[in-house]
Amino acid sequence: MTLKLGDLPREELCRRLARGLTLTTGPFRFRLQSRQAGVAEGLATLYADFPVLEDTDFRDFHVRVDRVRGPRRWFRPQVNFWFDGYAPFTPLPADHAFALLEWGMNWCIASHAHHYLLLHAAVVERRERTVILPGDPGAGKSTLTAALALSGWRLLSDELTIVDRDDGLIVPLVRPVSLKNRSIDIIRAFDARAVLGVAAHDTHKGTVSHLRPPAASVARMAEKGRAAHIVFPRWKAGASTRLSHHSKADAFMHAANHAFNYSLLGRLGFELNAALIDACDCWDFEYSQLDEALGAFEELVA
Amino acid sequence: MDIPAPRRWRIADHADLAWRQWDGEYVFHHALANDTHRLSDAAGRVLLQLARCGEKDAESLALACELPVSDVEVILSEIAKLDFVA
Repeated sequence: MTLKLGDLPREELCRRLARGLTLTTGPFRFRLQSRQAGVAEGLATLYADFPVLEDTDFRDFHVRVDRVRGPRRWFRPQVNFWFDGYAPFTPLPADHAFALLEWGMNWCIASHAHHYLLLHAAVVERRERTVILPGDPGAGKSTLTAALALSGWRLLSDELTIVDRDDGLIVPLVRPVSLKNRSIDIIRAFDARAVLGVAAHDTHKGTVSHLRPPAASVARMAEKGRAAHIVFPRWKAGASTRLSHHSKADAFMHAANHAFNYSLLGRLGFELNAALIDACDCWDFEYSQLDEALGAFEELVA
Repeated sequence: MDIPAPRRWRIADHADLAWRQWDGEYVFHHALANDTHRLSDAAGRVLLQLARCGEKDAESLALACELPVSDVEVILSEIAKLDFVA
């Protein structure tokens, strides 16, 4: 039987985390190391349904979040993120430890997993129809993704669309959904069952809190999805819910320009992106009310 | 008096173009430069005509693509800047 992170008593979680805990998310295995209570708290709250592997298993990424040395260990303590002993970021306040871990994990994948095409977009699925949600910051992508995940849609990813270079299918990367500022209260109000982690205030993105992904999505994180739609969401105060066609050529260029490794993959990146656009209907989606937005998405995959 | 032959255009060496066309818009990938460009229907048709037929002058291209010669000349000078044609 697979051991899940939520099966570990808190003391055991902290003990394993101090020496190295191997967590699986999608196709990647992370060895996480931290002595920060905030990291243990975040993992216990948000990753409870994720499988934990034995210490002897192979890992893709070895990462650590811990206090920095020097005076900052005691005075306004700071933490940093290390990947294979290298610190790619500047230190952050200690109470941002879990958010830093999440950003660091994203960075590991976006910077190294070039055996996939990596697009900056959320992915959800209903009735075996996968919907990709690219979105500029502030467009309401994560809020919509969180609401869909809380409404029975399968969450494949909140941040990274991973395209398999062999078959063009979408590889899930189920992780907590990163909510910012007003979105946090909107999602709390949307569903009282939503489990949110401790908020990190005054980050470079404002206040950030993560939503625990649905257990059903975590259980299916090895099942790839077939893309059917690309929807560019845009939240606009007072707007009526409206779905309209988006130019495929523009969708192609948007995906390419917001990809993490499109150029790096050269012709393969072009062919993978083109095949994705070929397979999808592309839409602009304007909304102001989440319940209406969910109705429109249901119709899209009916 | 010698009348200079009209300039003949061709796809640039090593461009190794790949393309897709959706609803009258094109995206082209230039393999050597590893650049991707979104082009209009007219520009896309001119490039594809060259890709299929090898060398052609602007007038022949205009005839084949059913475009005004002046438009084709502008298109050729623009896509030459992108190193798609020479």
